[in-house]
Formats: sequence, structure tokens, C-alpha cells
Amino acid sequence: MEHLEQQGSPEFNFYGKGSKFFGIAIVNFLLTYITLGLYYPWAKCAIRKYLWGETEFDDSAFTFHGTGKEMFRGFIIAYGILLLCIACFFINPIVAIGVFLIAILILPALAIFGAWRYRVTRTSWRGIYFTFDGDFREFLNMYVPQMLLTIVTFGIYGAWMRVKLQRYLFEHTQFGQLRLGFTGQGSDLFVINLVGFFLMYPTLFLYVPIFMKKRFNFTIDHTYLDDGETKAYLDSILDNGTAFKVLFTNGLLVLFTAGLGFPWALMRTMRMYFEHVIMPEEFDYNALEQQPGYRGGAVGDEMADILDVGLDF
Amino acid sequence: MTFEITFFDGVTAHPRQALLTIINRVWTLIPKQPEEPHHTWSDERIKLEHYRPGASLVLRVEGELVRIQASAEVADLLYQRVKHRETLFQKCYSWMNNVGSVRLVAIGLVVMVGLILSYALWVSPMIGRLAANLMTIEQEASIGHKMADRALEEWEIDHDKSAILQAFFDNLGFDTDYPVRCFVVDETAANALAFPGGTIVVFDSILSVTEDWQQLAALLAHELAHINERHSLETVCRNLSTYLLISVLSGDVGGVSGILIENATKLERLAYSRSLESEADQFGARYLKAQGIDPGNMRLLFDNLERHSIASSRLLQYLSTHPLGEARSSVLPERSLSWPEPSMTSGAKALFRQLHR
Ligand SMILES: [Zn+2]
Repeated sequence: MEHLEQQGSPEFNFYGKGSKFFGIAIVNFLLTYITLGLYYPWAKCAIRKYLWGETEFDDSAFTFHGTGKEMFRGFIIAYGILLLCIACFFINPIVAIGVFLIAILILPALAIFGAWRYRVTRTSWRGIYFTFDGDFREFLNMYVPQMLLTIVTFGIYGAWMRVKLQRYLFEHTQFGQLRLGFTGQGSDLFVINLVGFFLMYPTLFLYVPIFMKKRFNFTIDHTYLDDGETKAYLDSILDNGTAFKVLFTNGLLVLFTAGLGFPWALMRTMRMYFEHVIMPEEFDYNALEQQPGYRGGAVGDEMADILDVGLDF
Repeated sequence: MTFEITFFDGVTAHPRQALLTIINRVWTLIPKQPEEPHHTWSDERIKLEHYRPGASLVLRVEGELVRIQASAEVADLLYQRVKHRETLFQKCYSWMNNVGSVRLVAIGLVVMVGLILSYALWVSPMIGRLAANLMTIEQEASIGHKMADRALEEWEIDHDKSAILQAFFDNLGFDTDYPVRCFVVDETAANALAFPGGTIVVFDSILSVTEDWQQLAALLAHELAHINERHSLETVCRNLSTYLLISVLSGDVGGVSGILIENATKLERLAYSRSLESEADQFGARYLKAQGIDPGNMRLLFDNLERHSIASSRLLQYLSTHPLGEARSSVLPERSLSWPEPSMTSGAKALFRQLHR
């Protein structure tokens, strides 16, 4: 697999196998079950190590460096924070409502921010880490008004908010010395979502693959890399036909196996996504250099799991 | 040993072709480009971060990330050299990654089935026994009576017959530590139940199957054995072991009795295991003998029940709660013709006649 012989524009490949993923998932389930859930962070770690390890860019695989131990610590702290919020109810109902309101504004932000930061800073390629230099307070200052606007507009503003958060997270992420950036517009995302909303039911969900493709292309096509001199955009060559073929058959696969086909469907989906991304040719990826960067904990990542939020780009 | 590898030094993403020589646990990396620096690491400075079977190793050498890509054989050889330093989780992960995926799935499924079976066959009876052993007789009697009272709400008690059955039982004089209460209920199904802590409930329909007072004594002896030997408590606890486990783990020990009482009516449908059944037969036969009653009546009773159950499906319920072992009657002694008449005969006969009126 990892040969380093090919020339030309470097590309992504994904080699994850459904059967292997299924096997790891079963072992994870067993160990999580017999340890009464304590194994969960390690289970997550095993899945990520596998997925990262089967994803190659220019014939070199990514590596996930997170450990079960640090995720376990994050897990405990995230639960502790939630329990603390709940405990407030028993102390004083007025204090509790205040804490609750603050919590529903801050915790999802912590989850989104922390999950992204954790994943990014625990990923390496050819020995070069991704780095992240965002600041949570800064992120929160942006997040809170955005969230309030979204609530006031009954979710309509959500598309704009999402784009803003994405831009913040991307612009503070570096791949070696290449800084990520994002120029997607909230209005474009809003139109995609709106069309999706109106076509979903009349087409009996046959529009779902096209919708997912549009969302994916929106993210990829508006993402750029910047080495300080040159800005160059990523490009998605995923087309409607491919997306429909892969995602529709995946749907059938999951449906007709009562969910057991899920691992295979997931692997096929990931493969489809990765193999349709074109990285800019302007950069010499061999010249990437290790950057100093943040190496903090996993609290946000676990909070994202507990609250089941997160931006899945 | 010398290997051809490609390595990344953790400073740049530039692939470097190199020769790796390992002699006396010292790794020496000599890049093919003459101007590039050599690296020398002793074995103990190298920690494995990630291994992808047959492709690449990510190592940490004194905190610095070093990535090695090589042919499948070389990658595996290098992995063999560093794998003793893996953490337990890494060992587990490497094993999952190395073993073929079909085998991994198969092993996973076998272990899962094994776990489920061992839970049903071993863990849950153990929890049942443990819970039963932890309870004192007084606690058991108190909870058991509450369970029985809850269950009796569902049935129509025949108070007259209950009083006669109680007198019949007392007249037999079986030895027990429990304050035994006897009830007769009007139900079409034929069943007899023993609640933990000393409540025997006999369904009206089963009375007609007992041909004489000695068979009824055998029925009661069998039920009493379930109580004395704590079979009822054990079976209930075992059946509810998952709930019990949760309530004990969550520290809610008071919840245990609540769960038992809530589920009292389930006892009607709970089956004793075959080993508990034959134990109840043996003990019941012993009680009969101790009171001077021919233990052969136990066998006669069950032969009788089996015969009747073929004619009437109502009896199936008794046999489902007290399942018949295949060898049940052959293990029990036969009724002897020369057995002397027990001392309580006249009283017992009179009460038996009243019950059948
Ligand atoms: Zn029985």
C-alpha cells in the first residue's frame, strides 16, 4: 500500500474494510459491556486509530495519536461538569436556572470547539502533526451571539452560524505550515438546506444522496490552504451519479441487513468521500514542517459525545 | 540485520530512503543522501506509537515522532522488535489489526454468545444464590409474605378451604423454620406455588387430582421443600438478577425488596430448574418419611399428575412450574404395601374429605 512511487497530484485513498471495522466494533462492544462502560474511551480510540490508519494521502497513512487514557480523563471531567450543573438544582432553583441557561449556551460550544481541537491535534501525517491555535474565549464570544440569533430566527440563521464556526475552526488549523481556510457563504448553505428540505419528502428521501453530495462539495470546494504566499482551494469531483449510486446502495444495504451492513456502508461512504477530493497542486507536501502547537486534553471531545453535538465536516 | 526503509524524521514530511542496521539493540539509520545526518537510537529509547500491519510503524524516539515505511516483511520484523513495549490497549489493538477480519468477527461473535450463555447458566444463578444467601430467614419471611399477599390479590381465595388446608398441613407436623401459611384459590388452571418465606398456594383444580390424603401430603411436602431449601427465593432472584444487579450496583439495596414484591405475580410462571425440582422431590420424600408417611406417595403423586396432564391441559401449568425430569419417578421410591399406618391418619383423612366436599 504505502509505496511512495507515484508521481503527479497527490490524492487521498481510503482502505478501510467493513469486515475489519465490524470485528473491531464487536470487540469494542464486548469490552465496553463487560467493563460496564468504562472501556468506552478506548473503544473510541480503537475505531479512530483504525479509520485514520486506513486513510492515506499521497500513499502515506494518517495516524491518530489520541489515547484511551486521555479520553477517559476527558470523559470523567465532562461528566463531572454535567453532574455539577444538575447538582445546582438541589441547591437553589434560581441559581439552577441561571446555571442551566449558561450551560446550554456554553457546553455545546465547548463540545464543538474541543472535539475539533482534539481530533486535529491528535492527527499526524508523515510525522507532521496538525496544529490548532484557536482560543476558546474568542470562539465563545462569537458563538453566543450567533446561537442567540439562531434561536430568535427559529433556526433559519443556523446555516450562517455553521459557516462562521467552520471558518473559525478552519482558520486556526494548520497542516504543517499550511493554514486551512474556509470561504463558504451562509446564504449558499441556506439554499442547499432549503432545497433539501423541500425535496426530501416529495422524492421519498431519494434526494438524500444528492443533498449529502451538495453539502460535501460545499465544504470541500470552499476550503483552501495557504502557505503565506499562495492560497489554493481544494476541489471535490464527487458528482450526482456517483453519490447516488454509492449512498443509495448503502441505504439498501443497511435496510436489508437490519443494520448489520452498517460497517460496510460506512466504509464505502468514507471511501467515496476521500477518493473524490483533489488537493491543490501548488504545494509541495513533502516540504511540510513540524509546527509547535497545542496538545491539550479531551474534555470537549467527550462533551461532544455526551451531548451528541459536533460539526461533522 | 540491515533493512531498506523509508523514514520521516518528524521535522519535515520529506521521505528519506535509508539503510537501517540493528546490532546489539542499537538502531543506526544511514540515509542514502550523503549529506543527511545519521541517527543512532538504543532500543530502550524507542516506543511504538502505531503499527499498520505490513506497511508502516510510527515510533516515538525520546518524544520525537519517527515514521518508518517499509516492505511488509521488514515492517513486520521491526514491529516484532518493538512490540514488547506496547501497552495493554496497544496489544489488543494490534491483535485486532493483525488477525484476519473474518476470524476477528467469528471470535467476537463466539465470545458474545459465550458471554450471554455464561450469564444465563452461571452468573445469574450465582447472583440468585448470592442474594438468597444474604437474606436472613426473618427478612425472607417478611418480603416473601408481602410478595404472596401481592400475588393473592390477583386470585380469589377460598377462605374455608384455606383454613382446612392449613389445619391439614399443621396436622402433618413437618419440620420447618418458616411460619408456613397455606391458601386454596379458585382458579381453573391447576398449579401449586411456594412463595419464599413460607406461603403455599394450592389452586383448587389440583386438589381433585390428589387421590388420597397421602398424595396431598406429598404435594405439600414437595412445596415445603422449595421453601425450606430457598428454591423459590433463589429462582425469583435469579430471574430478576439483572434488575437486582442494577439496583445493588446503584447502591439502592432497599430497591431489592421492592423489585421482588413488584414482580410477585411472575412467580406463577417461573419454572424451577430440573435440579431444584429433583432436590425438592428428595427432600419432600424425606419429610414424609420423618412423619411416618410412605415416601412412595411422592412418586405416586407425580405419576398421577403426569397421567392427568395428558387428559387435561389445565395441569400443564403445574408441570411447567415444576418441570418433570425424565427420570423423576424412577428415582423416587415406590409405594410400599406393607408401610405401617401413620399416627395422624384419622385427622388427616377427615380434613381431606372436607377439602373434597
Ligand atoms: Zn417443584
